[in-house]
Amino acid sequence: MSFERLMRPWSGPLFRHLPAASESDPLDFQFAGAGRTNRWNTPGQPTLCLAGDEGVMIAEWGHHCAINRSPELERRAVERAMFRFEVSLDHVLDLREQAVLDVLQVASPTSMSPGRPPVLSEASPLLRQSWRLRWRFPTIPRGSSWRSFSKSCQPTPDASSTRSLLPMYCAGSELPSSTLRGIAGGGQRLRPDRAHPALRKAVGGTRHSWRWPSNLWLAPSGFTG
Amino acid sequence: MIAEPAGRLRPAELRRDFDLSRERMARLIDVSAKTIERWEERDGLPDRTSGRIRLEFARLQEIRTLGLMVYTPEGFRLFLQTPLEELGGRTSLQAIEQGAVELVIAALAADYEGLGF
Repeated sequence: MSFERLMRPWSGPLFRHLPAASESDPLDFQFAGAGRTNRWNTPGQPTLCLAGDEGVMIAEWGHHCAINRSPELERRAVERAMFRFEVSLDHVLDLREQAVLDVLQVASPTSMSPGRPPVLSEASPLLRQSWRLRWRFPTIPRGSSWRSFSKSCQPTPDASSTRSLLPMYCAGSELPSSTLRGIAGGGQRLRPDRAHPALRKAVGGTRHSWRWPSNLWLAPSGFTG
Repeated sequence: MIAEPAGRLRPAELRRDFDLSRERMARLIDVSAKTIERWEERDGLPDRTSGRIRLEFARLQEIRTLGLMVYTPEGFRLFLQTPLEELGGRTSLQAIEQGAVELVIAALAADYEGLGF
């Protein structure tokens, strides 16, 4: 079975946050995938991580600060502004589907885990050379802080958690940020979140929609952390 | 990526934001402290400066620019002196001295993106 027959359209909001003082376009992804502590991609692989909702966005920042940085550093991070994007994807391959996994010759979603993203990439030369877009969908409970939420985001390799993570793969080794940058000037700035001082920022800006210029795939994972 | 053109590099400004002595700055770029002093006095690098040194300077400038986007000036200085796991337990300054500038930029890139790390 070919990939084409398994592709589906997808659209919806996605979120990211950036240093508030940054003059960079919110659609500038020049640093995406450049880190070495990425949980969802091999170092250097162009990867765009976006959150499925505001709670995940906050929890991800909290996770990074708690795991990779010190509290002292976290307190000295500048304020961050939150952005919402309306994303429309024409061709999405949902790797939670067994049929897709069969095509990729991946035994099961649980064979993939943070720190082992190459497992899937190795399964297919197509994916190995693909741009990767990931987002996560669990929603932070109202009234809880990112700290309590991030604790609940520890790796839980059970079947139920596979639906909370929807990493995506985009066809082609080249997805230049200049292309994205040229599509829209930015996303919608969101209200400041009271749970995290570093994310407090006055709202403003305008809402934009943009369409991804290429094919994308969804991949499963047995982890939410 | 985001480095300013070499002609606009300001040695004194860079050293101030990195909070370094001339001796330490000299070690980062592999020149003498006296050379750093001369650059600061003339507020720039001489035209005859080698490509290697200009590149080293530009990379430090890139770290500074990115670091000050993510952290307060105080936070950036703390970042430079904090041992990080992704740097093999080294501080950013130690990593720079040992030629691992790209790793430091990658660490700051993670702080800039803040999702997926």
